[in-house]
Amino acid sequence: MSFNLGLYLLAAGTAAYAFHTRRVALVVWQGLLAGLFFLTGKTAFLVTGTITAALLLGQPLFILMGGVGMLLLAQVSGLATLSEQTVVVRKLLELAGKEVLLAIPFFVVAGELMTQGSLSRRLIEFMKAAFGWIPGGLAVAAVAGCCFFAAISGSSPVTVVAIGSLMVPALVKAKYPEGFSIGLLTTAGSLGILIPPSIPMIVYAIMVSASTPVDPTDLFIAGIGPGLFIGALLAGYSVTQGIRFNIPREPFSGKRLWEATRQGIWSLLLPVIILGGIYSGIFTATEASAVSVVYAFAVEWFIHREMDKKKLLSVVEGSMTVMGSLLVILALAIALNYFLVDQQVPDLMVEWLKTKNLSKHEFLLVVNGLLLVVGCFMDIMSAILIIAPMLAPMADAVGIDPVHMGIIFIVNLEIGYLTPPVGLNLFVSSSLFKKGLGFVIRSVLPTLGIMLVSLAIITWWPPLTLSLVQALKAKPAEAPAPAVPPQPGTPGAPGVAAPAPAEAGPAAGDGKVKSLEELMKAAKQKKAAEAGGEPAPSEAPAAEAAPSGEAPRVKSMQELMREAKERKAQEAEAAP
Amino acid sequence: MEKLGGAAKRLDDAVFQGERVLLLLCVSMMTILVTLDVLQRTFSRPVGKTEELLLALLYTAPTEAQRAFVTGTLGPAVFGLFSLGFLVLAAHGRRAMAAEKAGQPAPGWGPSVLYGALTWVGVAAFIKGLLWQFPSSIPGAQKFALGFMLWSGMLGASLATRERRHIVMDLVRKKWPKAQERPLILLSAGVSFGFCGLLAVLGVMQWHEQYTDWSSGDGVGVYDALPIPLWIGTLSVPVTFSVMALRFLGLGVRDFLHGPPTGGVDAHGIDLEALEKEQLS
Repeated sequence: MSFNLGLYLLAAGTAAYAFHTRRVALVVWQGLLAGLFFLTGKTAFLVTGTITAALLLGQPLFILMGGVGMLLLAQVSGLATLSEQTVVVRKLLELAGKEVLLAIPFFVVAGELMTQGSLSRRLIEFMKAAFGWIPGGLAVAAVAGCCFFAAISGSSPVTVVAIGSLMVPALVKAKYPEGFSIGLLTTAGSLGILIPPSIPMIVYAIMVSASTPVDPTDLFIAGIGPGLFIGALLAGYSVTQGIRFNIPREPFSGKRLWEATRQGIWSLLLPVIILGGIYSGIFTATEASAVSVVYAFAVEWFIHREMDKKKLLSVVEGSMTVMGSLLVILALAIALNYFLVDQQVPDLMVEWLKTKNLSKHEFLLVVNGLLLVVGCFMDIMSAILIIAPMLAPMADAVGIDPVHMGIIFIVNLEIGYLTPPVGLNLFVSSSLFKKGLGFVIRSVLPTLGIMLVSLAIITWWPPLTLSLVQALKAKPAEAPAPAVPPQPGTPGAPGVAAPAPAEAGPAAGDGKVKSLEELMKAAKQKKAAEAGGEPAPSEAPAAEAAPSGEAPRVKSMQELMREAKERKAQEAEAAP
Repeated sequence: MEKLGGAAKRLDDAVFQGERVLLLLCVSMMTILVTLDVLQRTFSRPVGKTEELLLALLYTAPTEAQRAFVTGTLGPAVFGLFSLGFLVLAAHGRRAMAAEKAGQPAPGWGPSVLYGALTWVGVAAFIKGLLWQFPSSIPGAQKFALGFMLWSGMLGASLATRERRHIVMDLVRKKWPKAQERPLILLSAGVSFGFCGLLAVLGVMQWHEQYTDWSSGDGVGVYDALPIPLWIGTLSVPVTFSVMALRFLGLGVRDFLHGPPTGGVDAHGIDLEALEKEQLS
């Protein structure tokens, strides 16, 4: 063990030294890699070597993730042949079959339409007229623009692109330091996933629906308070910086505000239509994203007349380039997650956490620490897919409201957008503003501090998150569950399958896909029925195949984990 | 060599044009399908949201007659007036902005009302036609949309390769020694080519499996309740990863011969100065 560790350290040190001397770096590094491979032949070394090679050669992120995932699947899970490795393609196709994924290209296209048209410019004009007169007003307008745009796009990188590309040059021109401008917009752009509609919130609701059903609409409402709170803190920071740098202020003009409102009314209506449509139940979040594309197109083409065929082609090309680069990363991250689930890595992490017998506050502290680390190394979708189904039942057991837990989860991963090495907003800003990654990282440090303070407040002051949900739903807060670990035999307990998420699959019989609203209602009904000791009508044995003619039922993560464990145990027994 | 490079560039340009057209088609189709699905579902409800709101506002316990009045007369009338007002405002907004751009005085409301009303009639006729054609639902709308999404996403990944827009772990790359930069670029491109080529091979294997299932003709290998073969969607994986592999290789060879684009590896992206000029001047 220590011999191997020594070898790894020696290899890394020598490679770094060789690289630093810039002479025979490549030859030395490759020689060491090859030599140590023949000496050790260990999987860990291969993985380290692959990551190092990808970093040294400047490979795209999707190749790094895919390479590591496929290597681990081959070396550890035994999927070594080409036909077995097709699991990677199957995972990509499975991912592309999720209805919720449709929301991503739609929101990206809507954002691009607004960026290339005049919607975001009009929005910014309105924000400047409304906030430009206060100290640091332009920066405050940038933050407000991000908050507003977040209520349209549902994606953090898109918010950075749409508002950042307009506001960073304007801030720099107004004599704000470049580091401050880029840091502020990179951070404020991350509000895209906290202020509804939010794609990660939908994915979170689906992933935890088997154990702690959460209505995505509740998550959306709950995200408003923390989103505006973080926005207010960032605006406050902007004001202090405006005073510090002695940035000239614009006088307030009611006429200018009215004119900006008149010019921007169609842009300002977009969030009202999207959020109003979702909350009134007219359409789901995915459908809202398609409606936002149609609305933005109609406004830009017919009313503002800022769009032409050439621009439209450019919109499609630009947005799908963003979508495509995200899709391949997501798809290959799913393959890596498949390996992690297959090897029960998240299960082991949670089991370890459980052995510590933590109180609610200690649990929150540990969870925040864990999620911050996870956010550094995993993209947000992967983190939700892997960690959320494990943590949600535990949080429920120690008395944390599922909606509150969802928001804590999202805020943590929002911070993950700003932390290297997998901080997506950092990459987007670095590429967008043609600045080095190191510069962008240094730029976000002050605002990252604000985000951490916000996280602490959101975590330990639940009313900030829950009061709006309770007020809008006009119902008393649910009493927290007793602070005891899950009882054996209850959903969420180790080794026990959670109720099958029949609600997550296609509805039987009529073949019509249920809306998210219907799915959540069914999940809640089932939970209520279970609490009453009666099985829900739709409940079926976990491993039971769907009756003939019906679409196969989607299995929960817990079921998959249990099956993997059983399969592994059987294999262990069968082995000589 | 120059001739070969020119031919490769022309071929890449032709593929790029094809990709753009396909992308426009896929994005338009998926948007139209999902939007039509929303419209169909919204307007085929026995009791609409407007009627629900009116019933809640007007009566605590509505009788059958009151319910029939709201759902049959009042609700549609209120919704019709609201949508007509919205379209008239939109028409007026369009005319007002056009007049402002042309430096003309603000237009009158008469023609705006006419245009708004005509649009309203057109939209109403379209929705009636939609409900007549698809009274219960639009079969397979979501699945078709997902198929288009897969194709558009994969084509977008291919475009990202051409435009050098993939997210790259470039912390070390920026510090490559100048003397060894070109061989390293070629090596890096070779690795990317190899990985994408491998994924293309895996994609072909998966596609072949689905194609064989489908061609057996016994109803397998198609989407649930739809006669569309699964392999059409899967085909996007080998096709686009093959194009990506070739593009990575082509870019690598180009950079090896002529050096990386001016400004280094992150020459793409948005130029702050250009943006300043464009947005603020």
